[in-house]
Amino acid sequence: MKKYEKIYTELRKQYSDEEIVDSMLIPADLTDAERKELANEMREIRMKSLRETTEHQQILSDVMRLRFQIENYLKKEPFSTQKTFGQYLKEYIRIVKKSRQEIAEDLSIHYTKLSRIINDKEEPNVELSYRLEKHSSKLIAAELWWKLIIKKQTYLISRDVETRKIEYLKVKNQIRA
Amino acid sequence: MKLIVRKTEEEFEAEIVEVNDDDFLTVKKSGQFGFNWDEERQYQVFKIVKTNEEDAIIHGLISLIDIPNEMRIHISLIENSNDNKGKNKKIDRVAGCLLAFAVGVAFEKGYSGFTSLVPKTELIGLYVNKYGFSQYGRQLAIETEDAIQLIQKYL
Repeated sequence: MKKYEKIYTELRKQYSDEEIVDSMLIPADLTDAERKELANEMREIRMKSLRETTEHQQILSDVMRLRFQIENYLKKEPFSTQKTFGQYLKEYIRIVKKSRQEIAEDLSIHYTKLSRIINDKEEPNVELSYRLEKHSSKLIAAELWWKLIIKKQTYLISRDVETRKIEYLKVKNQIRA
Repeated sequence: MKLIVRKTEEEFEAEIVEVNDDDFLTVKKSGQFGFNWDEERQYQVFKIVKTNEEDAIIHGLISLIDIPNEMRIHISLIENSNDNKGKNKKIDRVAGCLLAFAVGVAFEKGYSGFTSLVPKTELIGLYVNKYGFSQYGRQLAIETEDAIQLIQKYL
């Protein structure tokens, strides 16, 4: 009996097909010739799908790619001035193929304010995160946009010696530690 | 991503990370997995575990093949641990999260989420109905809109 057929037969003594699908992928047993044939078929299917991708589908795919880029940056990388809220917003606007003026209108935000945020000259607020979540049809959650702001702020606070000094002078009766 | 303890319906945060040599040993010794995962070492193998837990229990495994010249990810194998199989499984959503992870990798790489697999013929219809894959003869694939739905449901 073939390898996966044998496993499947054993599993069927214990589980229904639904339970199997709910907990594993049992691959088909393929000969080398079948494997080659299916690989050729899939190549054709994939090339066809690439040829027929619409502009809207490309936008959706690129927004998803951006989402995972942001997630990975937040999870795995240290703060970078090249990866701020403003930089990712700039990339989002490029992906959705809109002008800054159009996006400013879509998000009900003043054009100048939007430009200042994109250029990291002004900090965005949580309201803009919600609006971007809605604009992306929830493909990029408000929490992700918000975490970009937090990541930058955390970095800045950790290095802000000057403000620290000024604020320390305003404190009385510090607890002993 | 969230997994659910079936008994209490309590949710907990999980993450999917690449399997290392120690993990392969653990998988082999645990008696929790029926497939020979050592054979999957030639591909990228990932595990799903509870977030921020040392020596976390492996709830499931997935192996992926990246095919860049076709801009697609192919799923070689998926398996939940024995504790998470069947009607008495302890944790819910394991396989769905693993599948959605594969699709996420396909988006991340700029493949429009295009992910393929070749399941046993008898099970094809169930993978189509449960996860939204499209059937192409003996093979299944998912991309863009359906891929997004899978991700929104599980990740």
